[in-house]
This record gives sequence, structure tokens and C-alpha cells, in this order.
Amino acid sequence: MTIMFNAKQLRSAQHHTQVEKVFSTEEDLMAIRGRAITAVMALCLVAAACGSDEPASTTAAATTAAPTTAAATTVAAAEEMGACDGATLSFIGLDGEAGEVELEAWREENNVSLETNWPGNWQQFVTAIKVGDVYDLATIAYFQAQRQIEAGLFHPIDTSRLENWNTMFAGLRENVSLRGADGQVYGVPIAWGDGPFIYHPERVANPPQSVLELSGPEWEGRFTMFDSPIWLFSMLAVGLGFDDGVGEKTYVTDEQMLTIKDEAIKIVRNAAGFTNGYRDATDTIVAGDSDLNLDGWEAMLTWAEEQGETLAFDFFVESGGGGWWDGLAIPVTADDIDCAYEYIDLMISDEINAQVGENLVSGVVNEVSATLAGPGAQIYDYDLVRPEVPEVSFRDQSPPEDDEAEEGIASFSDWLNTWEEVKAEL
Amino acid sequence: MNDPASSVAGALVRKCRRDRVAAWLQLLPGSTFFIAFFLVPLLGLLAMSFFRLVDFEPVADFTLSNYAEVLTSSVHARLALRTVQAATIVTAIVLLISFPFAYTLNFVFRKHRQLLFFLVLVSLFGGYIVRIYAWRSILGNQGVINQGLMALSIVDEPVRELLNSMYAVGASLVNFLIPLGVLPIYAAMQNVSPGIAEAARDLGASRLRAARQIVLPLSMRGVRAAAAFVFIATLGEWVTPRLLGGTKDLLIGNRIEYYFGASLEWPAGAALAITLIVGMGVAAYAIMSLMKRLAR
Repeated sequence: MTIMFNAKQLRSAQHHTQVEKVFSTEEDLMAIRGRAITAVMALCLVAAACGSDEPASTTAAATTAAPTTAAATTVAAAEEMGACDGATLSFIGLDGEAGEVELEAWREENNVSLETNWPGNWQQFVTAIKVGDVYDLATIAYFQAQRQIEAGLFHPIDTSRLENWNTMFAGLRENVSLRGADGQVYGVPIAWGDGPFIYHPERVANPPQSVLELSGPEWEGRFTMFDSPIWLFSMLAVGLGFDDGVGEKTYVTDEQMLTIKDEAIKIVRNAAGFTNGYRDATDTIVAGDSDLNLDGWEAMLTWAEEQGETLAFDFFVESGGGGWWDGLAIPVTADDIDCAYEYIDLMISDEINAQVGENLVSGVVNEVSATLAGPGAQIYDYDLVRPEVPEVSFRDQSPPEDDEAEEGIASFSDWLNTWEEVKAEL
Repeated sequence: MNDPASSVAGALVRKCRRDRVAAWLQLLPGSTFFIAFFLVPLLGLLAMSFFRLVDFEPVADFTLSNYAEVLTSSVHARLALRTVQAATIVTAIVLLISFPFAYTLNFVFRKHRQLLFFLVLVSLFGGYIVRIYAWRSILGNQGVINQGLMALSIVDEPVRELLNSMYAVGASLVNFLIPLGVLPIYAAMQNVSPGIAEAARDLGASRLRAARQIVLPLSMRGVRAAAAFVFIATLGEWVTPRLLGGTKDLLIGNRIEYYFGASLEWPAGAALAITLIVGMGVAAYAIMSLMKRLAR
């Protein structure tokens, strides 16, 4: 079995903060590139074998990363609120999701320090916790929550310790995606959203109704997409009638996967390129280098507005866009669990969460926050998450894991391998 | 009393020893750095390539399956072919630009060569990602080239194929790697006396012939080094195709990135990286041999 945190799974990247992280990563890439050149030069100087040192350095980290697959343990009973006085909280995860701004005043009042960390990518995120680095809080993102939980990264959450838990929209609070195989809650959503495609209305008079339309000649070189099969294959599975789009995962047979592959080749061949983040996708549309971005985020409209361009969003008729949530979890390496609980509770409290939603241009998680939030959070339709079974599909669009897939059903590895074949056959 | 001759000999021996120790000490920082930050990680990578992946974790359980996967994958074969093609073309273009440039620098504009040489170095100062985004601005639909073509009525609408294509990847790589091409060639040409080239011209050779038959063989070592730099750097490239290439332009480096990033199959990624390193070594040797033969 493998961990595959692909772009679609990393749906939490639908935050401007994450996009900024993408750019940080690009800076990292620059450094990596520089090291690669240095390595190449060193090679020639010493007449040794050589190559990019990026995998090497990654491996160095990996080899020192002793597996610490700690099974999630129940968090011990905690003390009452006020546990944070004078505390230092260490957070690992997406920038902007640790209440950096929203809880700044509270931290000052309570003499609490917050250290935020983003290791560069999700693979390093896993490694950092696995090797035992101490973090009190972490991002848990919908599309990888199950894998993170299964990997034993987080403590289960005792929801009775969160005063604001019961005011959370039922569609979020009761969602199975927060829970591990043991039925326990492992993540507390702080924001949510849907999955539209974003387009330039002046250049796209008739937005596509189906993802299948994108294989037509009229779309050649006009759209960008993420380098990930999950969203596209899932949409194709629904669009081609192989999957009803309501199950917990996307199940297609090996035979159906061949058809999906053929359709995917046509669509990916038509794409202008793979995008490197939502901000990048926005810039590409604004610059006129593409007219539409698949698997987008409403915040892109705000960013485009800042550049004087008006974008629009829509959903494919037959398959919708899927939903996502991002939340907070308590890593198994947490040092100050009591304070972590208090902090999480504050993050989903009415006023603070309203600010979180506004700042992340995301949906808020409770009714009062929805009334308090600004326009960035009002863009979302909260009727989608009010029912216990939410109308927005929070289903995991990914296929079954390799060890879960029945005979003849395409597994996660099959999807990834097919995706690589798609790209190689273009 | 000691024999003066043996005293002198002894002093020489001691000086020799001191020099040798000093030489070793001089090597120490560089060697330590190289061993710690290149060789050891490389060995780690090698070890990882034989690991098995069990429940999200690379486990030190010897297996050759990663290499079997790497070497039998048709995806890898296609990407490798595409990568070698790209590296060959980029190397050829860089050499075709770098050699005349270095020649001009060394033999034609000798008075201004320091300034020109500095300009080459300055181009190295530009940030890698900044440059890539600059190319996006140049080649984009609203970029300088498309706007120019439209202003001149050469095209009615922007040429979309300029960006998100192998042309864009190639242009950016050539731009980035030219200094790596010029520097070793220029350094090698420093050892070629201008008088030799002038003598060839005095004897009736054209400037082109003098460059090809006199200067090129004498600076072949630099040309080979430049070719190796550029070829190897392009083989391992994955950022430029990601940011400037289209969906059809990913290279083998992107596959390694995929293994280490999206799929977290580090052992398979390590096996592919090691295979690429070995491939690079073979390719570099082949290039050098070929160029040696061509120079004869």
C-alpha cells in the first residue's frame, strides 16, 4: 500500500494560503535546482556519478525517518479551559489555518505563543510527525484525512471537550469523513467548500456542461488542470455513467478504466498545461493564457478581481464538483493536548470562525458564523451542509485502496498508473 | 655535527611531508562537505532503492522489484526517450551558441572580454523561478512575442503553442544553461594562445576554419565539460517542464518527483533516480567519447 497525496487529495490546497505555499515550494524548487547544478558540477570535478540531488536529500531524510507508526491512542482526559495560559503551541500544516490572525488578540491576552510550520509538502508533513517532531496541532484535510488517520498521525478527538462542537453544521459534524475506521472523530472542520471550475465569462460564452466536452477541438489549449487523476477520473466515471457519484468512493472496473483512460487522454491532450496552484491558475486565466481551470476554488474570483478581471464559476451538470473541508487535528506527538483542545474550540467558535471563513474565502462551520461572516464566506450555499447528510458531496472521489479493491475493480495504484500512462501517451 | 647534505635532505623531506599534510588539510573541508552532503545521501538513495514499501513506510527489506518496475515500465521508456531527446537538442543548441560566444570573447573582443564575461556571469544571478515566469510573460498570449506578431499583422490571434510547449521548455533551459556552456569553454580557450589562431589566419585559413580546426580541438576539454554540464542538468530537469511545458512535455525527472511526492513510493523513486544517475554516467561517457572522436 502506498500513501498518495496527489493534488486532488490535497484539496485543502484550495486555500489561498496553500497557494502561497505552492509558491514557497517553487522557491524551494529553485534552491533544489541550484543544488542540482552544484551537484552536477561537483560530479564533473570529481569524475563521479551524478544526478539531481533532490531525491538524494529527500532520501537522506527518509532514511533517518525511522518509522514510528504509532497507533492512535485515546487522548487522556483533559483539564478545563484556561489550559493555554503561557503556553507555546506548535502547529504543522497550511498557512492561514492555525488562527494566526484570528486568534492573535487572544494569544496576546493569554500570553500564548504560536509556532507555525509547513514542511514544504504533505510527504514531509507525514514524515515530520512520524519521526516524532512535536506538534500540538495539525491540518487535517478532507481528501487525505483517511490516509492520515490510517497512518496513525493523530489522536482521536474527544468532542465532548469542544463546547462549540454541537453547533457545527450537522453535514460537517456527522460526516463519516471525519472518522477513522474505529468510528472515532479525528478532525474538526474549520472551513469547507465545493469544487467548481473557474472560467473567464468574456471568453467562455457557453461554459461546459460536462467534463467530456473538454475533449472537443473547441477547447484545445484553452484550459488548465491539476496533475492528478482523482478529480478527472472521478468526473469521467460519473460523466460516462460508470459511477453514480454518490458512493463513498469511486468504483470503476478495470475495463471501464480503459475507457476513462481514452477519454482522459483526449482531455489532457487538449489542456494547455498543468497548473501549479490556484493562484497560478488565476494568473494564467487573467494573463489570457487559459480560459478555464478545472477543479477550481471561488477565491480565484477574488484574486482576479484584485487584478481587474472578473471570473465566474460553475459546476458540471452531471457530476457536480464535490466538496472539501479542512480541519484541525491533534498529532500523536502533541505536547500540550489540553491547550490544543482549547485552541480548536476557539477556532470553531462563532466570531472566530466567521473570520476564518472570510480570511480563507471558505465556508464557515456553524450557523452563527455564517451570519457574521463577510462576503468571502457568504459566497457559499450553507443549505448544502445543514442536513446531516450534506447535499454537497463530501464523498471521497478517490478509488478504493489497493487492499480494499475487489477483484476487477480499479484500485488507487491502478488509477495512478493509468494517469502516468495517460501523460506518457500524449 | 651532521652532514650538511643530509641536513638539507632531511629538511626537504620534512618540507615535503608538511606540504603533503597541508594539501590533505586543504582537501578536507571540500571532501567532508562532499561526502556528508552528496555521497552519503547518494548512498542513502541507493539503499532506499532496495527497500520495500509496507503500509506507508519504506522498509529495509531487500528487493529488486523497484528496479524491475523501473526498467520494465513503458511509461518510463517513453519519458526517458523524450528526456534524452530534449537533453540532446538543448545541449546541441547551447554548444552552438556557447562556442562562438566564447571564441568571440577570447579572440575577437579581447579588450572587452572582462565586461562580456561579467555579463555572462550576471545572467547566472537571475533567479531560476523568476526567469521561468519571465518566459511565461514573454511567450504568453499577451506576451511580447505574440503582441509583436499581432502588431506586425503576422498573425490575427495569439499563437498559443508558444507557451506550455517543449519550445518554451527548450528556450528557458537554453537561456539558463548558456552560462554553464560558455564558462568551461571560455576557460579552456584561455589556454589557447591567440597567436596560434592568428598564425592559422596568416596562413590563409578563414576565421571559421581556424576556429574549427585549431581552436576547437585545443579547447575540446572545455567543450566536453560544457556538454556534460548541460546534458546532465537537462536530464535531471523537472521544474521547467512543470512550469513551462504543456501536459505533453513532462520529463523523466517529473516521474521521480511523482514517486517522491504524489505517490510517496520512495523506494521506486530511488530506484528510478539511481537508474537515471547510472544512465547519466553512461550518457556523459558516450558524449565525451563521441566528442573526442569528432575532435580527431
